[in-house]
Amino acid sequence: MPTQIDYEYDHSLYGVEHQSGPFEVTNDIISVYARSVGEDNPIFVDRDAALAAGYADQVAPPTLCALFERGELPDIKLQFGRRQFHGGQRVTPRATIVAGDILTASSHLKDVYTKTGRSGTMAHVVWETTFRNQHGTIVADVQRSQVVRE
Amino acid sequence: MTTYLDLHCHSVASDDSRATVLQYLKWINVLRKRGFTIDGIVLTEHRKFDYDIDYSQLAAEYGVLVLKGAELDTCFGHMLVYNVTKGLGKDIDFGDVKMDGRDLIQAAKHHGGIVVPAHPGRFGIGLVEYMEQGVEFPDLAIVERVNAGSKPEENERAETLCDNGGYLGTAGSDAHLASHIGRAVTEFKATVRTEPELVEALMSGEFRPIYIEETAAATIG
Amino acid sequence: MTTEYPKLYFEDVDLGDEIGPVVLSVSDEQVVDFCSLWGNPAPNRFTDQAEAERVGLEGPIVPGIMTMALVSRVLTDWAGAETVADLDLVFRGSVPHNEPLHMGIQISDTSEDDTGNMVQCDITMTNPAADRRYLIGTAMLNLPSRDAA
Repeated sequence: MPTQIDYEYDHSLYGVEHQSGPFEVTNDIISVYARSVGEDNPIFVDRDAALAAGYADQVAPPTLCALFERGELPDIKLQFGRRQFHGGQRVTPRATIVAGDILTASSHLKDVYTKTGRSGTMAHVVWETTFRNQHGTIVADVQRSQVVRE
Repeated sequence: MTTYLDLHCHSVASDDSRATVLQYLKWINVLRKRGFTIDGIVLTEHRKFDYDIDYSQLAAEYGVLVLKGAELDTCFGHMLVYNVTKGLGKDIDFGDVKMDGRDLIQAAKHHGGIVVPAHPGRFGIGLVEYMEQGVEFPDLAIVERVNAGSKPEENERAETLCDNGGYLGTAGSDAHLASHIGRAVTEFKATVRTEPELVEALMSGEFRPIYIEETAAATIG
Repeated sequence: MTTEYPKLYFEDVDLGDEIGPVVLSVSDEQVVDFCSLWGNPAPNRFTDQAEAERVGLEGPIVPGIMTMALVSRVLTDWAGAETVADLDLVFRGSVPHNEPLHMGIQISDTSEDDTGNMVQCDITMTNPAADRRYLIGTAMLNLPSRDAA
């Protein structure tokens, strides 16, 4: 059951799976991602090292799939707030993602709730997403909390 | 007998906590091995209270008292409520983030509980902000003086409030992670084993807020 | 079948162990690099001072998922590439560029069950004075056992 709040939003999004993708995981994406955060583990930065270690291709660091979720979630048309920020993120890797994988995402609205903090009233919009690869294997579960502020 | 209680912590029942009650109890035993004294905790989940959940077996297994309270959002900041009863739950909507904190103070008192404003020195939301705007809280006697999750300057504001306003002060960790439990505790002169005894001990005024490091001396002494 | 050698075994860690603080810093160039993955048109609040101020920030910030990637990197550097079973972060404050970020890790639980040898880590990220908290969270690591090695 979603939390009851004082502000209007699109409740019809509950119980609906929103599909997005396909997202191709390329060597370039993995390399830029790894380089930008100072990653130097050979299996994340070097295709040959990954192959030598027994992987099918360059390995994606554990939270890379969260990249693809951003900007893909529907607008819940919340009648509150002006500014948004990222309130939280959870990634549960289920299987190794390698370059060449084609991912699809299935997302649903988990809850919308309000609370108060240093910056006044905030609404938290929580989405859950499951990523699958081209074989239908679940590779990660991701939860994202977007905060809307007064 | 002296009782050391962490009066403010959140388990995974709160949206922003990542600690289970079991993990808190395990960590308290880590603290004890380090020479600190802590007898128990009061779970103060955000905007809710679970009347049915019973931690007594777990508490006995780990030798840690586990009491239940709540931290409710009000229009005058967050307020800790101790000895939450079903009667209070009928009179107050715990999920209402804009409830009048003064009504909560009255209602809790009516139902045998007590309200302690949490982190009153916190910028933007603490009680001090509202007092500076002229709001009065005539039925208030105790505030959370030490909140281990607050910024130092916010705790300084809380100390000033207590010292200048004559309020008694409690302490709590405001833990949202297992390893943060017990960082600040309230030292009671009396033995506290239940929520009504906690209210009684608070009403007696025989308590003081301390950081966990101070309890090491208690263990040695 | 991979031949990745673990860096850390379950028997190497104990409840209460503390790692760090690991000191990190994120440069403007790193953020621009990361944002290029979104095809995010510059300037934006992550890369540009004026845009950041326009949305009420003191300066450009590190994106949440990039901060998560940094945390993940620290964990895999320490424990091994494929040990992260869960990473769950609550962002408490905007993470600035070019400032020291102190990341602390404490072992808050250990357990052995059907899913593996699980180690829970409490994670914090603050400024050096620890009076600005950027995030809290937990990571669950699945570590190999020396018994199985």
